[in-house]
Amino acid sequence: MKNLKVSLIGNPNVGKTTLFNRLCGVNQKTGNYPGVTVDKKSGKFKHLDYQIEVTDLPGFDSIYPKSLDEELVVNFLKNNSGTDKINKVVFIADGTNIKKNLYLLSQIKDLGYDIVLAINMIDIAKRKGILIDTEYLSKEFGIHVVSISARKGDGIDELKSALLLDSPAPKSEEHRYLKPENRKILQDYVEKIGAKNSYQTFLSITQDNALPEVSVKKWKSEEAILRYQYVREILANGIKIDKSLANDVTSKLDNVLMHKVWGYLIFVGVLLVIFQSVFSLASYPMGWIEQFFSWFQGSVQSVLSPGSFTSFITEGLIPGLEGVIIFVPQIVILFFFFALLDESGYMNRIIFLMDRVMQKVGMSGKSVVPLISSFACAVPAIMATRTIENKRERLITIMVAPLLTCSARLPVYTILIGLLVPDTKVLGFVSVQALILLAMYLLGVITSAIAALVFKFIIKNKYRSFFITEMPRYLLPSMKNVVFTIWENTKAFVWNAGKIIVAASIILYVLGTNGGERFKNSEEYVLAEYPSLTEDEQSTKISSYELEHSYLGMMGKSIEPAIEPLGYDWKVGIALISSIAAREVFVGTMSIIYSIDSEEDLSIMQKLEKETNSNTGKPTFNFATCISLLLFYAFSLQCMSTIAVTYKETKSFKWTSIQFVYMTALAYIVSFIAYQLLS
Amino acid sequence: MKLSNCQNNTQYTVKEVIECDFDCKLMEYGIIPGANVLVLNKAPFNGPVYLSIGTQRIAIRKEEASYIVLE
Repeated sequence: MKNLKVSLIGNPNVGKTTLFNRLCGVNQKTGNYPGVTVDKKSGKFKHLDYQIEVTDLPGFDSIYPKSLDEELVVNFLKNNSGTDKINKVVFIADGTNIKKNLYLLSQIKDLGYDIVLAINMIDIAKRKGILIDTEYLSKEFGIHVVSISARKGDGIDELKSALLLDSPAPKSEEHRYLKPENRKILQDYVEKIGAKNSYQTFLSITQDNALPEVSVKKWKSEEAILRYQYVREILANGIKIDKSLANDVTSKLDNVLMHKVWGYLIFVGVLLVIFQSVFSLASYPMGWIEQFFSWFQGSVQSVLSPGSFTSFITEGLIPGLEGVIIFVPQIVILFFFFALLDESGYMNRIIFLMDRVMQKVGMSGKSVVPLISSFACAVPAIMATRTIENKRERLITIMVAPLLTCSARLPVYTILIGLLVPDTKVLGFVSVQALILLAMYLLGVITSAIAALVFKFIIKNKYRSFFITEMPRYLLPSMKNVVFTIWENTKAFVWNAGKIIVAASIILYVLGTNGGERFKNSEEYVLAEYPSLTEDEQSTKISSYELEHSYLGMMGKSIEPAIEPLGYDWKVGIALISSIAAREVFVGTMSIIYSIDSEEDLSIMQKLEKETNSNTGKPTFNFATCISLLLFYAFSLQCMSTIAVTYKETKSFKWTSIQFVYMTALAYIVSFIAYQLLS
Repeated sequence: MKLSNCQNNTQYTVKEVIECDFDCKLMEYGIIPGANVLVLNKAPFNGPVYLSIGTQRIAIRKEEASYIVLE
């Protein structure tokens, strides 16, 4: 078995991911938190006696990177050496729009790569009357050219076989990107430093200013003009367009979808459909998951003998797992829609429509997609900001994304809103609880806009913002890609958030069931203090005394002075401490705290309603406290995964701290004001 | 005339790209002297300009479009 390392590269929206899935099927792996093609993906397949390893790189437009995504690819291409050295490049071009692709192709070719050109969507090109002379392109560039349709699977075997062949000799090795006099300067410099590849040297001159006497600007524009001339010549001979066949659905759709009135109405409609599905459709499977876990918990309890191990499983581990799995339906639905929008090409129209509005608050049209994602989870949202070229716009988007209501806040909101108002309806069908939930979403949107505006004034604009976006043709989404996107994002969520939530549940259980001297001898203390209690009253008193003097209780007590002005007691304090790991832990912690605390078998809601504040003697979850808690959870950054991903993406300790501090301060101040006014 | 203040659904020829930080970027997208551009649409409130150049469609902000001089 011989080995071959291959990389897939090309402009965005040429069907690279589809081809990658087609080649490698399920034999693929990705790094953490994948966006659609954000991370470096790799896979394997066998062809004849070759084992072929494929790396899928993010789509990129230019050898002069303008976003992090592009920088990643360009650096990869410039430093191809060592054990990861690739033998061949599969360059994917869009058969319906090959001009721009050939421009990039000629640059990659000049870097000295051995290329196979795969012209994708050949079926659509044919229907549009575009005829591509692959023979001619092959001779002209000195590469193998294969026509494929990644979607239908046409030409894939030919592509695999072409990878194993040697490339034909190119027509000329001459550089086509500089005028003769500058070509001579470059050539002399190449010889002087003994470089292997003259285009690589050209790039180090134009990107890193290696030869100061050269006008970088002039060389770059000379390259653009000469290369386009070269590509145009090739196109004139290699491609024929039969105008009578051109049937332009995209233009017709754009007239409506990008219309100054209809375009926005349709966008709002699309958002409504997404949110409606996330909340109402997901509630069914979420109900089933709840039922399953309560059945599971019950059966484990009846099978295992009672003891500390059993209660650890049923009260620590199982509720922890449930806290993760319960989000899966929402995440699946959300990523289903994102994949549809992205695959169809509509995502780029949203960017166009929203750019102006987003600019007002210091962001870009490209911020819209990450911001919509953060209604599901801030982690993939922050990863997705990599496509924003301008550093300031990207930083602002990262800073405000966690303010939007992510799905981890939902269970917290659901419980608190349930305690706040009964489930009544106004006008016969509008639920009051749903209205409050909607208000919480609006609060997130408005706060993030205000925060963005503040950051716009604070962060200096070192880099001039510019914005060029390609508008791909509309395509019917490939279900295979949609399923892959959903699978990868859900897997990443369950694994990354799951680790933290399950670990937090276990630690909490241990801290809540262990303690110091007072905890161990709680029976004696209680009996000494209340000698006249009945046996039942005694045991309730003892377990609550135990919790109060457990390590967890001590932690809650120690922060009580700080949270008392917000209307919380030490039990809420415990939940706040534990949900620094992740917000949804709040619900789990509450149920753990109160199931340790009470012998009766009540639902979490009933337990919370019965609870009284140990300081004031009034119900803990009164109106003012619930509002204060709702606001606290709306603003505070209680999510370790988000903190980790912000650090990873900004590589700045400063901005990671700023994000944590400003959100926590905002949460504290707003909850303080709300509680003091309402109580 | 500049691309930033031209008519929808009209074909223009690029005369020059004024020197700026991103002129090379525009050229990489095929906006070079002599190229034909068709303005398809403009987003409201001075939003981006949507244009087709050759067989591809791109959107650029109005500010960038003001660096593109038409014949």
